[in-house]
Amino acid sequence: MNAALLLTVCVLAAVAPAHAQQPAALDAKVLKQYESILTHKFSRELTDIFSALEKAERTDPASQTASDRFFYLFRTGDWAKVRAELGVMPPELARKVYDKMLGDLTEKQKPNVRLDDVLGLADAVPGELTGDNLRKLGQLLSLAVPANESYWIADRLAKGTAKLGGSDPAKRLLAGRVLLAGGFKELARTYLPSLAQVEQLADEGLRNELTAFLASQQETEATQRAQVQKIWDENLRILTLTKVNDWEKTKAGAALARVMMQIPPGTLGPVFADMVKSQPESAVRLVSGFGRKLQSEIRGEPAVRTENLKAQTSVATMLGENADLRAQPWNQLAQMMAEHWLVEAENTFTQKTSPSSSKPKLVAPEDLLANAPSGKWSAALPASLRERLDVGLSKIILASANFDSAAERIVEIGKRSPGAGVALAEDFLTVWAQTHNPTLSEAMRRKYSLPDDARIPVTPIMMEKNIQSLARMMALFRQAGIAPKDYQKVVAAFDLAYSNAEAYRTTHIEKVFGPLAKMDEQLFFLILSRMHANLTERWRKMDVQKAGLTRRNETQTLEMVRAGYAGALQMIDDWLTGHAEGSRALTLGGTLLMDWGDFEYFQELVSGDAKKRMVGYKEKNLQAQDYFQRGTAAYAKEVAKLAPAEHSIDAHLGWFHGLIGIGSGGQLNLSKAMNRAALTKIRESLLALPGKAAQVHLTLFAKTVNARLADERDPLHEDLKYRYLASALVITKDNPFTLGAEKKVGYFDELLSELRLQTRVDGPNTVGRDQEFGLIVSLVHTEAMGRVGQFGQYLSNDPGAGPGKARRKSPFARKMREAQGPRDEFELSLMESLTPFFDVKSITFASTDVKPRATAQPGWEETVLAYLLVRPKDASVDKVPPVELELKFVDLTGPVTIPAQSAETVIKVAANAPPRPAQKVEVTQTLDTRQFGINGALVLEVKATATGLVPELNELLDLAALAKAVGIRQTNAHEGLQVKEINTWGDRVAPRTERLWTLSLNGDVIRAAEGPVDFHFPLPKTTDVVAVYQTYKDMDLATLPQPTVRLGRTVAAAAGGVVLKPARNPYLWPGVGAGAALLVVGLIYLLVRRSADDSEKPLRARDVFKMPADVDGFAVVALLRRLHASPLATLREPQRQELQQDLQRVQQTCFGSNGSKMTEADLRGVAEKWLRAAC
Amino acid sequence: MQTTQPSPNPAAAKTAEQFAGGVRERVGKIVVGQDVVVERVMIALLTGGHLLLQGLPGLAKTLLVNAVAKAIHLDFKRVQFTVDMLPSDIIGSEIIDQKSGDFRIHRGPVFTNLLLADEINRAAPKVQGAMLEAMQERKVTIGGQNLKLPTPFLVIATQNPVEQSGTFELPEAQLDRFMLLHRLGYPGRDDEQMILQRQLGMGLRREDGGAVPRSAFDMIEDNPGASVEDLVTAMEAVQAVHVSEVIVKHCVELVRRTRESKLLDFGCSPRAGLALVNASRARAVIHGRDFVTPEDLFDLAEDVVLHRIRVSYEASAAGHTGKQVLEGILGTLG
Repeated sequence: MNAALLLTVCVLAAVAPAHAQQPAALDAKVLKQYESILTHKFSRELTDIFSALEKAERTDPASQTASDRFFYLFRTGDWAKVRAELGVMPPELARKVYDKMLGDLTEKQKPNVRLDDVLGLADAVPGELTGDNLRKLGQLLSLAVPANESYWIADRLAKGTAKLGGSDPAKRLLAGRVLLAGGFKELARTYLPSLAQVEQLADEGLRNELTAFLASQQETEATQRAQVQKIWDENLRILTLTKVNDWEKTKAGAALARVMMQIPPGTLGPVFADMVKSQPESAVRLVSGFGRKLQSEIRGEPAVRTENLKAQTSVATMLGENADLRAQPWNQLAQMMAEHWLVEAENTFTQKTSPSSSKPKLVAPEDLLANAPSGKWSAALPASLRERLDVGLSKIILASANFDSAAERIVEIGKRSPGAGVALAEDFLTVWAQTHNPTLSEAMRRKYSLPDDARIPVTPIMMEKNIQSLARMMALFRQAGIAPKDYQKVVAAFDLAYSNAEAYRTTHIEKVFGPLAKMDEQLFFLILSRMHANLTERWRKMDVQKAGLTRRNETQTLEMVRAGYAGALQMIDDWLTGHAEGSRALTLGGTLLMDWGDFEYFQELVSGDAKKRMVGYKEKNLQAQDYFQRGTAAYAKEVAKLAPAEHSIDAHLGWFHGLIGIGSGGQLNLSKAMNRAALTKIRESLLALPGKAAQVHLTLFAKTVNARLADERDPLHEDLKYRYLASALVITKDNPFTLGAEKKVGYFDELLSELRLQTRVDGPNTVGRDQEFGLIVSLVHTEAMGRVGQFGQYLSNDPGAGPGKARRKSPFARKMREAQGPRDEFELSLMESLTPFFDVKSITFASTDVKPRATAQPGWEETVLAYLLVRPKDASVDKVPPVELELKFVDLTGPVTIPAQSAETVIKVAANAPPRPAQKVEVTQTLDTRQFGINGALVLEVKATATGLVPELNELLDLAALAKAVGIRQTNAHEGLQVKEINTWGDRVAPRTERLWTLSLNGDVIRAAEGPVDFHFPLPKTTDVVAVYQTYKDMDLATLPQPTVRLGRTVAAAAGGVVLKPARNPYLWPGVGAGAALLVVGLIYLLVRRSADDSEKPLRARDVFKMPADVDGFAVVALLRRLHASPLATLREPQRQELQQDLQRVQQTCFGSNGSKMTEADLRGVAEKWLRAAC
Repeated sequence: MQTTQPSPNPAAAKTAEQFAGGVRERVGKIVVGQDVVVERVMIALLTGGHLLLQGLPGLAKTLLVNAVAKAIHLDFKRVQFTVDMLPSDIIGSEIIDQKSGDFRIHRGPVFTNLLLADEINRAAPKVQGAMLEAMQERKVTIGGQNLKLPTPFLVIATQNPVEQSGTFELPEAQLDRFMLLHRLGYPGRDDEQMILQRQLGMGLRREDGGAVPRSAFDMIEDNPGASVEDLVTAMEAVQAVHVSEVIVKHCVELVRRTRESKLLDFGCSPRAGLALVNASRARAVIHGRDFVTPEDLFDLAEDVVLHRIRVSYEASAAGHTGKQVLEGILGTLG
């Protein structure tokens, strides 16, 4: 590239002097090349620059065309040479090329030019810069230099270039024009001549342009001032003219009002004072015109309205100074202006306190406060208006969040006007709550993409401050007798003052609302209801705790919720101490306790003991019953004083809902069974109401039940439907309004009349105390029911097995048992019913495709569901309690669950019970001799199967002979009786059971015998038992033809050593081991000898084994181990055995927990002994 | 949660020995020639540690773990780790129930008592990380819900020392979470002969009208010989095993010497010392002792220590192996 540049420079050097004098005539070819420039686009994009550089590098400069050279210079920004090239061209062509160059560059959004390029381009112009050139250069300049970095241009232009800036006025003018075109107006002003000089310019277009720019700022202001003055003077004159009609004067007054505030105060004041005194009519017209202006602009922009308020204050002040505002018409005008202020104040307050998220159009409270009626203006107003102004002022003070000041003012107003004081106090709470609301506004949430419930966490310190502030204000209002009456607002404010994650404390409640005893009833219940709702829905949630930054863990949250419930109940109790027994308080207490009970059981905060949970649940439920009962009793006393329209069944309904598991927050506890005794109590309490009230309330209750049944939008939960209706009928009995419910329950009961759950004992009903026996659970039903019942669904956890759609699990409907499906549900129900009386060993369900069995009753069938293996807990058990199965049906209102309950079955627990039925008993005995040869272990495995229950081992086999002959060390009964399946298709329903015992036998007797010993398997006690005998032959299982097998030493083995008959392995492996040992010894010998041959200094044990430096048990054991394992140690077998014994002894004594410690001397002695022996 | 305090109980120790013996016996019926591995599995079970088995394919790792699980009535699952696995394939995930439209938690295979993590080095590091975190924490988090893993929870992972391409070697920090790393060898000649002979005599298993050749898996008895309660009793016995001060001292000494050795880049963490003592206690119980001996330490040192040390580059270049370095340190201990 250097060569190319050099050549270019040479060419230009040759060309430049010529151009300086006169452009030489160009060669036609070169001219054509220059002309071809006009056919190309000028571009300085980076790719073009890189291409140009690459092209220049690979092209011979001599062969470069003029156009290529020009483009190269243009792209590389060598403007001096561009100017030189343009100078070589004919002037017209050069101008065209230059114009095209600027035109092409300005066409681009990013022409890739810098400040230097723009200035270079300006300097490269052939001839003079035209207006169009200057505009385009300005345009490029605005792209090259950011508007806020004009100082770069200022520096360069201050120095000046060939064409722009510097000290030459002509160049400064050009620079000013470029800057003006580029939008650098301030800088342009410094380069452009003065307005006077501009007016001397010959070019009219240029003159006008520059004049317009330079004159705009100064002249507009002057012109406007003159205009305003003109309007003022003219209209003022119109007002003084007597011949002008009223309409014209009114118009003039309006015109004056419009421009009034633009008149300097120094001018306006004297004129206005003079007008009031000498031409009061004109002044009235002016002020009226001003009033009309205010009215017409009342919905205008806040800025305009603020200006109007300021003007109004000026006018009122001027009027007060120059006229008696108590006299008419000035008093009317003063009132009108005060009313205008009030309208603005109300508007500001309403908008400030409205929860609307749209941008409010209001006058700022500060401006309203600054322009409020005061002084003579205020004094001239009638008292009623002054009162309203006071209220308005208080509201504006509130809107400006100056609570202390607002409260004082409200108290003052309250003294004069208690009604207004209370209203203001309520407004106060609204504003206070709003300013303390930690929930972020929608605009804020949208801006930062925060969730809908995003809130600012209320820290404990903030909370305390809030409570203090609210309590102080409330105390102030209470003392002034203007305590807010809108309790919703009061409680809402209190709730906002509190952290979202903190349970209300009674101390705080009393601090804000005063002592409980003196609290208004409505307020008390409102607080409690809010507390109740928060306890149910808010405070128990860990995400709320997390968002509230409380750092509570789950246990602490649990404790806080408990404390919340306890606090709420305590409040009720305290309330009741100071008041008569109120049904509302007691019912709320009962509902709270019910919810608390459910919370104790279902709470997912701390996975505590299920029993403890149940205790908590039951305790709360019992307490709740008491509250409900007292509540209904209290209502019975209250009802006589109530008008018929005030009759309510809330107390009874609350009790009813609590009983059937409908929580106050919509949660359902589906595990609650029908409590007929309690339901009857509800009925009795309704009937105990005095006079006609009993029937009225009963009917009211029935209507409520009927309405609930008919509610299609929120239908009863399928698991609750039957229970709800049946329970309600216990209360309403035959009330005509519950006819629908009665029919429905009747239909359900009819279903149950074709179906009953049954439990029966497998075998005789007299069972042994410690005996396991079988219980068969089945459904007895009509054939028709058998066809439609799909009872297999209860034997599977597959949710799709039931009728209709799979049940949707609602987070609000919970059961106290966690079941995966209907079978689990059934199993848990069985366990719940039976475990108080029996140890349930196993539950075996029939297969899902179980077929019904015929029964003795024609038209009826039995479908066996499960076989339970149970054992009575003690001798006092005398029955099988009822068990329950929730049957699922579908009626016209959707799925419904009906609980079917079995009848009790009487049983007798006796010490000597007959054996349980068992047929087809098969016993397989396997004698495992595989370890016998190695360690003498002899194991007899007894496996028994039967249809029915497999009897005990001693009832099955005669073990006495075995115990005598060999000896039984241990009997392992494994898991005991196992039910493998239920046979529901045979003559009788019976389980297929299996038992396994492992008997560890004393094989030493046989091992000790000199010769072979016959082992006799124990024989069955009864003949109907099928017996199979097996043992291992080598490692294979072999069936024996007779119950005997021969074990022990053979004659041959006696000669060869310890070889046992049943397993040849014991002979084989020691032999192999001995052979291997011999081989190892031989190898070691060879190695030692060979190393002795190879090395001059053979390695000896004494070189390797040394007395440890620190002699302790560990070191000595390590030494003995190494000696024992080392081939260098010259130890004979007896010595090795002795070494092994010593090793064990040292280990036992040094490391055993009870061993006596060896002294160092002892240990050293042992080590020395074996070092001597081995080395 | 109940805490079991260690107290010497000879009866419990006896039961534990019987338990260990029973399990070994049962497993021994199925798996031939891997006595040491069985012992290591038992140690891991009794101490609640995790075990990494390094060995070539076909060494009956799965069979062994299966047999142990069946012998103790433990829930057992096996996961074959592959490169495209995701953490949710192991720990589970929150899925939407098409029928109810609710989210429900699908528990992954990690929810078991005994998990065989086959070829753990084939999975991506994030999967390994999730797995090893579950091992460490003994709980997993799915959908913001903390779920405890069942107890006992033992992971037996395997890795194949060959075919290293496409694998992600477990980093030292994660290897440290395995109490033991046992290197499986081939069975001896006689054992191998026995394996073949057993297989020859197994015959066919008939099912669904057809038949398949019986394998060693068919020999695993369904009725477990021991229960989880037995395992807990044995674990209690392990806690009651006496460890003398001398053993503790030498154990610490061993760990410290690995750190001081110039042949090693880094030595063992204190976790290694803990693992060594715990494993030694379990071994003592398995061998019918109620006290730890140096032999336990020497026997287990390789499996406990070797995967926690790294031979320096210079030492490696000089031909030293980790095993040699460890043997050297052990030699100087006594």
